[in-house]
Amino acid sequence: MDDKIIIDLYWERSEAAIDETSKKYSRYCYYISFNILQDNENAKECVNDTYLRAWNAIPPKRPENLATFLGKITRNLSLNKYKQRSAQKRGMGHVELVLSELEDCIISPKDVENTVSEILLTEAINSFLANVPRINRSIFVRRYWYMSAIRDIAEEYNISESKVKSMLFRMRKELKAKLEKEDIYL
Amino acid sequence: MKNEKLLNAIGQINDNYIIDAQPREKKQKIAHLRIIIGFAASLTIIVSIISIFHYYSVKQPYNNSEQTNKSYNVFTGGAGKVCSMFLSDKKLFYTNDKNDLFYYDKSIKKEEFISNIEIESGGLVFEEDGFIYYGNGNAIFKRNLKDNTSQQLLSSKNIWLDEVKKGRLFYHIAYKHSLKEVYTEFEYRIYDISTGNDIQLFKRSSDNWDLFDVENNIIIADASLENDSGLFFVDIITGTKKKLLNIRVNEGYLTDNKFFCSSDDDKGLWVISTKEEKNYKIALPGEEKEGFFIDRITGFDDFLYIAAYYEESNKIIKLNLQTYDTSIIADGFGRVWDLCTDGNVVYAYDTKSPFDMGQITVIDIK
Repeated sequence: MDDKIIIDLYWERSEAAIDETSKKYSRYCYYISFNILQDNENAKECVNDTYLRAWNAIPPKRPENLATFLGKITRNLSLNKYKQRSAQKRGMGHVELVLSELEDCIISPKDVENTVSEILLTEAINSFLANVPRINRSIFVRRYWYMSAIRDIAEEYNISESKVKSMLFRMRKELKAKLEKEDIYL
Repeated sequence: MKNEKLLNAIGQINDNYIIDAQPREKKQKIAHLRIIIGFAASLTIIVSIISIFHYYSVKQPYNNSEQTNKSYNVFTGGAGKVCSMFLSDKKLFYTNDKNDLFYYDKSIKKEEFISNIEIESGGLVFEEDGFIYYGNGNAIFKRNLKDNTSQQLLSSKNIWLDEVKKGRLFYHIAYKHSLKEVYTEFEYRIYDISTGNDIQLFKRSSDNWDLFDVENNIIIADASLENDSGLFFVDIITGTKKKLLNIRVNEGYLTDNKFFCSSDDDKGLWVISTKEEKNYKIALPGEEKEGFFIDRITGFDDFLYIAAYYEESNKIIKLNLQTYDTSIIADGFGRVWDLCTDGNVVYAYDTKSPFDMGQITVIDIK
C-alpha cells in the first residue's frame, strides 16, 4: 500500500493503519532494532512500540517519508531500551563498539559553555555527508544510523571488511576536521 | 556522554541519506521442503523467462551508428557475487564472495572453477605475469595461475595489499586501538618480489592513503592526511608529495603520465597530468543529466572504457585517447562493480539490485 494511503488511515484513526504499517515496515524496523539490541524479543517489542508512537504522533504530524519517520522512532526506542538494559550490564556490546568509533570525531571543548546543540550538530553532519561520495555516505549511514555490522556492510557493498573499516576511519577523521574547522565542540 | 550526543545527532540526519543507505532485506527461510521445491521449480521457469528477456532485450548492444560491439554473452560468477575480476594472458579470471577462483573459457563460453583460495572475502586480486597476489589480513600470498600453487610472501596482523606493479607489492599494515574494532593508524610499505627487499613508504600515522595506480615510480592516491585531503602525486624515489586536486576522487586510471578520474564533487572525467601543471576535463555523453556518476574506468592501448550511470542504467563509454571522441558501446547495466579489457573484449560485472548476484557481460569491441 502506498505510504500516502497509510498516513490517511492514521488520520482517519483507522486501526488498519497499524496493520498496513506492520505489513510494509515491520522487517525494516526490526532490522534497525535488532542491530541495536541484538535480541529478538526486545526488538519485536520496540517494533510494536513504534506503531503505537506513530499512532500517537499522526495526526497532527503528516510525515513526508513514512519509512524514515518510523525508522527514527524505532532507533530512538531501541537506543533507550539498550541504555536501560546496559545499565545493569558491563562489557563491549555492539552499540559500545559503534560509540567507541564515534569518539574519534570528538573534539574536547576549550570552553565548556561553547558546546553545540544537537540540531546544529545534525546540520554539520548533513553538510559533511552532502560532500562525500555517495557510496561512502551510504556506508557511514549504514554503520552509524542503522548500526549494521561491518561484515554485513562489506557483503552488501561488495567490498572487503578491511576496506569498510578504512573508509569509516577516513570519514570519522574528516568529520572531526570539519567540526573542528567550524568550532563545533561536543 | 559526548559520543551519545553525536549518535543522537546522526539519528536526525537528512531522510534522503537514510533511504539511500536502506539495507537489503534478507529473505526468510521457509522450512517446508515441498514449498521450497515448488518455489524452486516456479523460480526456474521465471528465471528462464527473465534470462531470455534479459538476454534479448535488456542488455542489447547500444543502437547507435558508432556502436562497435558485435556480440554479448552473459554468465554468472559461480553462483556468488564477483569480487575481483582480472585478465592474465588475455584470459579472464575472477573470485567470488565464497573465495572461489574461476576461469572463463572464451572459446566454449563457459566458466570453470579452479579452487578456493585463502583470500579475505571481497578482497582485491592483482595479476602480474601469470601470478596473482592477494591477502587475507594475516598474510599476502602469491599464486601461480598455471599450476595453482600458492606461496605466502608476507605476514603480519592486519596486513592489506593495495597494488602490484612491476614486481613490487604496495601494501599497508593497519593498527587498531586496543578497545576498538576499527583502525586508527596505518603504515605503508613496498616489497620487492624478486629481491625480498622491503622498504617503508609512509611511516605509521593516522594518514590514510587510497592508492589508485602506480606508473614507474609515481603513485597516484586519494589521501586523507592530518591537515589535508585530496588527490596526491607521490614520487617514490624523491619522496615528493604533490597535491593534484582538492576534490575527492572515486575512480581513476593512470596511463601515459595522465590520470583519468572522476569525482562526485565535480561530475565528468578529469585529466590530470603527472608531468605538467595541466588539468582539464573531457566531455562525456550524459554528464549533464541528473544523477550522472562514473562507476568504473579501465583501458587498453589508445582507448578507455568508462562505466557511467545516468537515466537509470550504466552505459559503457569508449573514449579515444588520441582524439577524445566518445561512443556508447553498451547500455542497460545496473551497478558496474568491475570492468576489464584485453583490447578485444570488455568484461563488465554488474548487479541490478542488492539481491542480485549479478553477471559478467562480455562485450566484443573488435
